[in-house]
Amino acid sequence: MTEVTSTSTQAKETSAADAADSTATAARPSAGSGRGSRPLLEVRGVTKRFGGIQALSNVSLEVAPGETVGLIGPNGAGKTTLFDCVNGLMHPDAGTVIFDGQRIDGMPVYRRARLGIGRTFQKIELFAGATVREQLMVAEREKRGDGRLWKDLLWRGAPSPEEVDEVDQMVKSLGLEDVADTPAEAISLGQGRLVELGRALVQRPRLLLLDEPSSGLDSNETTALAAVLTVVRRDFGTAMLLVEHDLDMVAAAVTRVYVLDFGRMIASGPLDDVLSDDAVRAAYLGQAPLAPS
Amino acid sequence: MSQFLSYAIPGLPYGCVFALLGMGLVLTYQTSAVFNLAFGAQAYASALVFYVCVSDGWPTWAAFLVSVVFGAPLLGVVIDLGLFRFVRSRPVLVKLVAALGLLIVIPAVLQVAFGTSNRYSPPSLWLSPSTVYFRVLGDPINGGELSTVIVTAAVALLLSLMFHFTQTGLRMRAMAESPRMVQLAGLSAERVGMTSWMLSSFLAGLAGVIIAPVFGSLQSLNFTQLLVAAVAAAAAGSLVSLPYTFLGGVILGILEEVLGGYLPSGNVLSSGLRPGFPFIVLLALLLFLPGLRRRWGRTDDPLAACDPPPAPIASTMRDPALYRATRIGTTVFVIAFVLSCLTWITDNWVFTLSQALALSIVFLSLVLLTGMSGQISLCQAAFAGVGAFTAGQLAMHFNLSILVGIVAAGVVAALVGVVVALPALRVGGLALALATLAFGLLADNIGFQFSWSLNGDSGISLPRPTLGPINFSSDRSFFLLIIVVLAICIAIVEAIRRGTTGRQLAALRGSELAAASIGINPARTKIGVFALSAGLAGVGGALYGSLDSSVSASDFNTLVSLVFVVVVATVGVYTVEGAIEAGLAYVLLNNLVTSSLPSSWASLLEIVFGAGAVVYVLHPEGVIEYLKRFAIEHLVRGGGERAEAEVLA
Ligand SMILES: Nc1ncnc2c1ncn2[C@@H]1O[C@H](COP(=O)(O)OP(=O)(O)OP(=O)(O)O)[C@@H](O)[C@H]1O
Ligand SMILES: [Mg+2]
Repeated sequence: MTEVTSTSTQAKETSAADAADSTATAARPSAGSGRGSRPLLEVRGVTKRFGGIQALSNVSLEVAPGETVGLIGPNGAGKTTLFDCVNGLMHPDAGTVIFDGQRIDGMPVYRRARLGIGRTFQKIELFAGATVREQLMVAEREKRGDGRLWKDLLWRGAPSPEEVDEVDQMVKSLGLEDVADTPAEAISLGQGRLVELGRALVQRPRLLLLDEPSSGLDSNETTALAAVLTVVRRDFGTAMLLVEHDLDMVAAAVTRVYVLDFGRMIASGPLDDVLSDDAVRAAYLGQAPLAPS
Repeated sequence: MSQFLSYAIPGLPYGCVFALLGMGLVLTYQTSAVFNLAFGAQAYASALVFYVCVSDGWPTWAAFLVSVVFGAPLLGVVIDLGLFRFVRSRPVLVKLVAALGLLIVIPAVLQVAFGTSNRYSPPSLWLSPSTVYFRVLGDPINGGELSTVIVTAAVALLLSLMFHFTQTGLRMRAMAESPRMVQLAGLSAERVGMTSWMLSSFLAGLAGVIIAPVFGSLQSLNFTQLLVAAVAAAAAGSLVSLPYTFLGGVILGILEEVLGGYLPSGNVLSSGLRPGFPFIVLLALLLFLPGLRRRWGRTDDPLAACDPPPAPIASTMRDPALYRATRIGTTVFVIAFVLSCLTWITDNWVFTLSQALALSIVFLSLVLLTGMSGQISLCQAAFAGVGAFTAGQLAMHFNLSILVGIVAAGVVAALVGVVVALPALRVGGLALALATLAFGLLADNIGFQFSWSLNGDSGISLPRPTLGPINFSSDRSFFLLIIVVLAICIAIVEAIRRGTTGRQLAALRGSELAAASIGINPARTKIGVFALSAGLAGVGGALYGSLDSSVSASDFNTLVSLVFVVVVATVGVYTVEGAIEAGLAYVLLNNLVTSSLPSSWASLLEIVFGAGAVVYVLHPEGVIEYLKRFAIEHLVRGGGERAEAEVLA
């Protein structure tokens, strides 16, 4: 049983990888040199402490517009903490975060979101009580940013036909039609992750932070997810920072990776190079399979 | 120095009592994640039992054993087993409503059990307050002060010994540190929780008995007010530290009296400032203690042994059949109701129904705030009071029509709402509840006492409005006006629900993290809704006042606010009909109790709604809503089967 699923995943993965490669080659020069165009996201020397734990120490990374970058590392390495610092849920103790040339550390979460930073959560965060369609609709309305209390009071708060359309489209492209009107509590974890992804995507973010999007998904869902990400990258040109333990998926999606361990950035570069790095091997020893199978 | 002492010494008993209650609050908050606003009522219970026993001729020690040593912990066990054990992983709102229900039920039940007669000069526990034992720098120390200090110091000493050297104490400390670890270590969190309920209820009972002689007569409201000071003490300990809570309580008690002593006497500000002082301190602590704000702001509970279960779907989803039935039923009913009121119903009843509908507007503000936005306000009556005096004073001094006054009432109440909510809303939940409680009590004690506001208990008068040729002075025409205003308010609430703001609120209720991550500004959205809700309450208050032709501070005191929350939560806080049903239920029951039942039943209303709030824990959708669903399920044939078929499909 396991055998069968894993092979079928693999087949799909390869096709996703092919698709990813074609965009990757386009993105690589600018990302590689990092000089030609301004990076979309720039993290410089970010440090975060929780009491005695040094969750991040002096971490720096860059993501170019449209580029997909992996962020890997063993459990507790500080990946989620770094996401929180970029997205604003946490404020770093030191260091700067620059988005599209603008310093954003110190900005509240919602303003960063409005600048175009979307994210999904490792520990899934759905709007309890709302249906799948409603979850996407809130995000869709928020994108326009024209929701005002007084408009509601004049009965002008209902979503427009275009918005409804947009949401329907997203529901369809994520394959969530069946559960579109089901409340969040009643859908599977995999569907929940897709809803989170859709909620971020309807806002057409310029940078998408994905925190272990495939954890808890079955193989079919993982495949669907990889396909969606490919389409997003190709059609919307969204830059992504991907935290993922499934190295197959990372290999298929990204141009290069950063490796965090105990809050320090221990390596960066193309996945294969990084995985043969001694420090990375040491960090991962006994943790997870090293090379994509 | 001597003068300072002469002010400070009478403050000691207060300080000790604040400290005892405050420590009780911290203990139960740490071990069972419940912020028990009912400790004041529990203190009252012990004081009352003590009083009754002593006046029946019991020796003091026997009365003390029954009321404090056994009675108080027993009450603690009962409320733990019967109520709080079931709510500890529920949202803050549920816990608060449960505690409020108790706060209202306990004194009401006691009134039924022991009668409502006035009980003057409560007996002292140990040394007589009228005897002076010795002098410090020339200042007399009387028996009341002496015994309070000795008893409190002894209890504090015992507590700290217990925490450091006994198994139970160590377990409780461990529990406060990390409930998960306690459970993982194989200890029963429930057992530890129960011990802490017994202990803290004992502290509350002791506090009640030793403070009682300070009050001229036993009144439950006095004890409820003590609790706010205790909350301030607990806040001084950031809700974790017992020693700091103890210190905070003592200092607060002394400061309160010293302040009262040095302030010039004779005007409203100084006479109100002394009782208002603890609330000011609480507001200040909320504002300026960052550690406290973080703690209260956190969404998880200190006790959550697992993640709180998701809200029951049943409480938010409605059967389509119920929607249809409600819509048709409501339309028919509203038309019949209005026509009846205009034709055959007697004037008296039209007046009563008008009262119910005016209150419904205030209740609607809670549907918006609590049902739709998941926040809780314990000063909604105060906003109604602000609205009432705004309209009244404008009419009195500027000859402004009440119709304009009603609009102004909404605006002013909304502005006051913003001021109240700004500091607390960023953290939400418990902090907002306490800030609004403090504000409500401040309004009672100071704000509503001025002649330019509600003029205290003497009150102010409000005229009935006229609109050009139309005169609303008759009850029937005023009834029509109320219907119109109510309809507008309903339209506002429905517009919010269906509009962008309603979606944002739903998102914020579901997950504030995710809501902010898609660009929703949590603080702004919540403050907007809070202000709107305060405004609605203001409009309701102004209408209510104009209907009654006069209002006074006691119409809008904090107890009324608490009852409001409990009534709406009981009847149904998620729907617009809930507000109207709550208004009708409240006024009609009140009418029944005051006009047709013997006076010993006076507290029936409190008992019904207090008990209702306890039921809220089981049925957050509200009792009437629950009954409606139940009826629909059984009346609409096949409804049940259809739902089942859907599940199977
Ligand atoms: N709010 C917090 N308070 C205290 N410590 C924290 C907090 N959040 C994270 N940490 C600690 O910081 C370190 C980094 O955590 P983080 O969640 O960022 O790791 P991660 O790389 O995302 O791990 P995983 O792969 O398990 O998700 C861990 O040691 C964690 O225990
Ligand atoms: Mg993580």
